[in-house]
Amino acid sequence: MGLLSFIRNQLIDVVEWLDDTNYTLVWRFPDEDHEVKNAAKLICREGQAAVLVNEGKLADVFGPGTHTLSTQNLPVLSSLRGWKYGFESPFKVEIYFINLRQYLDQKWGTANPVLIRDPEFGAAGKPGRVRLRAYGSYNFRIVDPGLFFREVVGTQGCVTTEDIEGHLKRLLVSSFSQAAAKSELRVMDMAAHHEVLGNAVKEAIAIDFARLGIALTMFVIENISLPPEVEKAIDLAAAQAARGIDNTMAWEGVQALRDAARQPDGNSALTAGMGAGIGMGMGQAMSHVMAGSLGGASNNLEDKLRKLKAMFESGLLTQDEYTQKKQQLLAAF
Amino acid sequence: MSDNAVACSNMSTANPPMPPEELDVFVRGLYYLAKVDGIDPREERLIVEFLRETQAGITFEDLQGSTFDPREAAVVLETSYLRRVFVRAAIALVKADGRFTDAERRAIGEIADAFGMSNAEFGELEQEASRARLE
Repeated sequence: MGLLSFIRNQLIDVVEWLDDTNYTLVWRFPDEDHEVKNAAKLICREGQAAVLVNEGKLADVFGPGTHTLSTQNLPVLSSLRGWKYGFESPFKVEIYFINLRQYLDQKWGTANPVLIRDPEFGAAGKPGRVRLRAYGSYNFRIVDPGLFFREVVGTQGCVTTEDIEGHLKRLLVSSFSQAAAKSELRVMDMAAHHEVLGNAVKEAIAIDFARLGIALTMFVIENISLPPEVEKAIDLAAAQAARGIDNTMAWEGVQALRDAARQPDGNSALTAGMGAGIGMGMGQAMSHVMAGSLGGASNNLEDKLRKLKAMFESGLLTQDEYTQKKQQLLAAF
Repeated sequence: MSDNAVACSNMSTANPPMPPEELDVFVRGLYYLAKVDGIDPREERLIVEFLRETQAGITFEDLQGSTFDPREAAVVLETSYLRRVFVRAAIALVKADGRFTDAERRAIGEIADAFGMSNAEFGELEQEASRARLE
């Protein structure tokens, strides 16, 4: 080997990236002085792309394959540099590898509750609103390495999923809020329509992600939850419905009556009623409900006994109250 | 080898490996180091071949009256990458006669100092260059 061959061998190099992580999106080739050698081999493995940056400006982008870096396949860089000596001299360039594979099972969630309009929660002529939280997972991949580099990477030597996670989450949550609002689904029905909502988010987010050179390949809503007090109210309404009482005031009256009956003090009924904010009107409503539920002339004995038993089983009546009332009904029969 | 690689290889034989001013520093520097302890015929042959292949436009006889200053080399060879290539080539050349004398090591060391290289880096380059066999 002569001197020239020796020097030429110094100039030839292999530029490649063996990624052993599952979270690195972008990695800068750590060549000292960023000198690319004559006839360097650039190896992009399947699922990788390489971006050449000349003095901070994006030049050429290479997809998977082995590329011999020459003026023939570096059109942008050649133009930018206006190489006086062709490709024979080492040239200063930064090479960034970009991972094109899918990043699976990334988590998203609403950090703060999202306010959704829902007529079902309206009261006193005011529009209904309810706060809900949601979380799930998503997959994404980089589809436009050049655009992703321009929009996200900048001069960072390494970009991981963690670096862009926050931004992607914010986009997803924003898109989820809009999709949930536009979906015209009632909040109560959202649980059964995760897929519909998920698809709506996917469509809405596609443009935002495309602006970053990213594609959302999967978006899953795993859970939608309401504030605890709303969930409690819904459970309460469900319990009322299950017991055949369709009036909330009556339901509360029955509960107050039960509580009063359990007080050992003789004045407990009045105290409990006042404590619960039940005044004369409530007392009347309660009487009405009790009459409607238990003593209405239109109800037959079987219905009355069934409701009585339901109240006993739900703990609204004590054993003595239940037995006493049952005997009264049977005696009147 | 791909078409591009072939094209590039062809281009490599037709053109000099570096700009003329860098090439000039290389040939004068290598000649300067080769004559530190007397030019061996093998060293002379390598330099003559290098001048011919690179079409440097000067002959070995022209070099005999040339001068070389490490500080000048540091100005022309701006990047540390090129400087490392020069030091490796220099070590490989002076070892072509089978010896690496103290005078040669000192002369190359002065150039390495002018290039701002550390002792560790110089040692590393020396090891790398030792693996080369110039003929």
